[in-house]
Amino acid sequence: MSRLNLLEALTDNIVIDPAKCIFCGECVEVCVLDNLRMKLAPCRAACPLGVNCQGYVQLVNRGEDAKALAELMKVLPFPGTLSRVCTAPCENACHRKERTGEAVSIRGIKRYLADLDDFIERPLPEMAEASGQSVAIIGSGPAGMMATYDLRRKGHAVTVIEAEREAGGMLRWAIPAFNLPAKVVAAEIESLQQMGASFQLGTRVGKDLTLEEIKDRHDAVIVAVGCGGHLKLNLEGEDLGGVYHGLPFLRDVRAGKPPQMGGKVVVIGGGNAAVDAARTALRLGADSVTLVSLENEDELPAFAETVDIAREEGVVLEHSWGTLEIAGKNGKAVAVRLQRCLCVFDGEGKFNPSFDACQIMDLPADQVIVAIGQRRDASCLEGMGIEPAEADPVTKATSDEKVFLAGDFIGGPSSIIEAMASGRAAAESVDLFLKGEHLKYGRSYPGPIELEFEIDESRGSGLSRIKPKHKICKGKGDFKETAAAMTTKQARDEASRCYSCGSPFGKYRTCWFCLPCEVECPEQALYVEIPYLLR
Amino acid sequence: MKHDYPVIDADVLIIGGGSAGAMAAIRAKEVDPHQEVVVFEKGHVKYSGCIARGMDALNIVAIPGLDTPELYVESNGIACHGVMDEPQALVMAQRSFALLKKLESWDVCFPLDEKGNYEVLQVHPKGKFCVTMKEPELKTILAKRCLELGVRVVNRTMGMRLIKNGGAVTGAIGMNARTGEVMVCRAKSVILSSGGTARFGLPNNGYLYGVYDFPGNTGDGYVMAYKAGAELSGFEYTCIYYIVKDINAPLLYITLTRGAHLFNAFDQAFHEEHPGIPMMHDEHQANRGPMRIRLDHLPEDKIREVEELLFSTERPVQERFYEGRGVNFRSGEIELWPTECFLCGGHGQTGVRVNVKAETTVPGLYAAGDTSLVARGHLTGAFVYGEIAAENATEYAASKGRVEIDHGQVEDFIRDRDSRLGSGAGPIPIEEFEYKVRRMINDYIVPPKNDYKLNRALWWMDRFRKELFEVVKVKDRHDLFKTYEVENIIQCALMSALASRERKESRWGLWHYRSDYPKMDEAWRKHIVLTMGASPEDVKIAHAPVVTL
Repeated sequence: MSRLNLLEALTDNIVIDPAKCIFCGECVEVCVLDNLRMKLAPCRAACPLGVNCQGYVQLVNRGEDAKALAELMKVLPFPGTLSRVCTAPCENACHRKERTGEAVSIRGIKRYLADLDDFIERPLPEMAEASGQSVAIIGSGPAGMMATYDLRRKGHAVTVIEAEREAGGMLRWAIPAFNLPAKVVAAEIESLQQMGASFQLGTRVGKDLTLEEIKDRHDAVIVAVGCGGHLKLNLEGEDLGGVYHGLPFLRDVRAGKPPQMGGKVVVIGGGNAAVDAARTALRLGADSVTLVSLENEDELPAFAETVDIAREEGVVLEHSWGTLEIAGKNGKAVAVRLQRCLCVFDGEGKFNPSFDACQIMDLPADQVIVAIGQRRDASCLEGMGIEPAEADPVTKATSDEKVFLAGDFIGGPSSIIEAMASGRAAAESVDLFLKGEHLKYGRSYPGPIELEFEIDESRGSGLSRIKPKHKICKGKGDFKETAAAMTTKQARDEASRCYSCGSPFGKYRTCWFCLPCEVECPEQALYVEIPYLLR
Repeated sequence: MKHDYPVIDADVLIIGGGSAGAMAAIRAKEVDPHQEVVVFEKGHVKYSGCIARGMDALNIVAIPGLDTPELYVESNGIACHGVMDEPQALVMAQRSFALLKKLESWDVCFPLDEKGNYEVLQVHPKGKFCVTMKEPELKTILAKRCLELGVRVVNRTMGMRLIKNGGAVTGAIGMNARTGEVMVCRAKSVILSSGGTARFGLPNNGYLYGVYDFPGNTGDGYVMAYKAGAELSGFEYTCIYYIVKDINAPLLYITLTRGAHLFNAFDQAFHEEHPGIPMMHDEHQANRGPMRIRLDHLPEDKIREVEELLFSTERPVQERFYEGRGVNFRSGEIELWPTECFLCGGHGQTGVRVNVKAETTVPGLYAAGDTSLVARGHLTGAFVYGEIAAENATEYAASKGRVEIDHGQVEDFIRDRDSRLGSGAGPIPIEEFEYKVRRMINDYIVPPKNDYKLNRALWWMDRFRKELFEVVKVKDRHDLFKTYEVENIIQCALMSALASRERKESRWGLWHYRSDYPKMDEAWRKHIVLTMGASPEDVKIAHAPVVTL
């Protein structure tokens, strides 16, 4: 790092023991003279929730699993879910990936922690005294769950209003059980109930109850109904028998009412829902499943590891094809006509596919599943004068001071962790609103952090990324979870690959050696030297 | 344009959450648990101010049956060379023992001897008033009590300007030191307790923050009070301590009162008489320095007692300092030198003028601790006047209805802030600029003073005031916040030079030694009072008599 002024030319007198530091940032927080800053590890910087990935990975590396789980749970109350289905932006940003092509399996380590025996009896978090105020949260998916957790911790009464008969939103009703077992979601929801949240299930807002009525009964409302609708191809043949759409198809399976599958199944789409649908079709008895995507293999939005498993299970992938029509006979789908996709995105990076009309392929199909995306259903806001897009990007506030939005409902489909982060932001706003405080003050500040710094790559071990052997689908009816957790040795080995990129440091050389940073360090990892000029 | 910023309400707003401010907040809640008490704290209240790791003594306690408050007034009057308002000192001393008992009830440790008596040391010309305290957690105890009592602490928020309405203070503008965001507090009364000016002269060690007093103190309280129309005094009392070389940490009385020996560079002994800092400065100025402390003649248990206090409380970092220097008290010696020059109400006599109710001359505005002028009140002064300010600010607030904020004053500040961000594209880092400002303070304001030097100081401060906006680089919010700190240092230097030039005599030993007026003159046994004229640089000077009992 270049020197910016004469003080930064001095040596840093804050000494960090990297073998002890857990990168929690307590020292930075307490430094009276604002000397300290945290070099934020790329994994943590990439996490929408700011989870201290580096900290828990290093603690696992040191064999301190209970501490690692506690560090994880400081920010993330739903590790069971996220250790299975998080898009893991942390791994995408991992410096090890940049240097060697293989990120540290941060999500895998999280899964290891989430599976720890003593986590099963998870203790209740600390909660503030009852505030006497109540909040309604419409939707019990990831955004609603996080908002519920945070608002209960702040002492507010929370009623979650959910259209389905069980809570969990997409986690419960869209993600297949072989990726996210129902009992995991149920345990996360159970923890919210133990915290005192009440769930009003089977109540569809706009039909059974209006938003206006909910507003009248509560002090604030968060609308977090997600994107439960599905996109259509709007092509000929889409209404034929044997043609299904991704989300309703997955939902029917999770509801115990799966459609009949057999013969050749073609799945159209390249995202995780499409891969999930393909793998589900196999388990429902399809003889063959072909997944057709616009994108080439490198562009696929679905997780690479999931795609590999799908392939291993027998799903055939056909990349770079666009759908022209679904051909039918006697009212039933019989084939999908495709044309070669040359390019998905235009020069400006926008979705604008171009095709070669001379390359046509017909794929025979007994069933077709169209899984090309989700859409928002904003009917619950009808008559309220509120548009989803109007939500403030920081506070999630709307033109109605009592109504806040959260999750995918605002801007369309994102990821579970982004939806949770959005739910957390909305909950913070609601708490501030209920206390009569300013909603925006201090919230655009990224924190006392540094993002540009040199990384010492000497710390990571030379091991390759550890991939626990996943379970193989045993055929029709096998919906058991496939992803396996790491063993303790595997978790230690994987954690040893971490470069441990971040660290607190004395940035401004404004130390008065008053020692609170040292006193407050929970690991005795920080030592204040007398600056050389005074030594 | 009307900006969007939070406005919070308080009955009592306290600016500065150090010793005085934290105690004021606690007292305000004790007096009226239902009132809203807000603290703007520039750092983090848990450890901010001078007592991050506690304090080794409660410097002034008139223990019943031992010494009287009246004797303290006499004794401190001698130390202040007669320029001390006696009623304020008396009230402080009268409440000092109750203060000790209160702290004790909060589990603050005051060691007792085998007979159950407090350890009382003589550090004043007359009487024993300094009681040993051994409490590294003193500040965390205060901070915890604040939070338990429902005080709202807004950390990382520097008090920028007081807001006035109809001649009275009705709130203040704070700025987040990390984000630059503005927060306004609408308050019925305001207590200033943001310390003195510790970052004033440049220390010999060359480290901008390697100063004796808490370096977060940059005269913010003085300048806010001044701009609001309050009277300041004692800016010519340019304090320089004489303590451990380079680390500028205190140890003098802990060692001397336990039998340490004090020598000058020629091995002449000075520990027989009651030795004080003025004497050591005299030796140093006469080129017979540096002074040194030796403990090698003391028994092991005495040395351990000294070490236990020094290395656990107030500045425990001293232990690693001595290790680094290879100094073992059993064989080595401790070298003392003059510290940098600083302005302070608690250690010295610089501050906002207050009466026995901690009232300033501006309605609704109170001051306590190093910001206020309760001469040489030290920690006792901070605590007692924190309490007094809280009691009277509470009473004042209770007599007021809703107060209004003049948002125009906030908009003026926001314009000023934004112009600094927009115009600060010069080449000079703010730290380099601060270094030069403080070097010039050393050259021209640090005694010995004379008219020529003080006029040069004025010329430089005028130049710095302009250069701050012309040459300094403001690359982020951190720099922005520092520009306000350095601007306050420049303002304090200007006021110090003017007050020093006004007092045409020498007084307080080195601290106001004028080579062109080397004698003390009884005609100057009075206060030099500063108030703001048409603008901050237009400093009005008046004289005021010393108030006696």
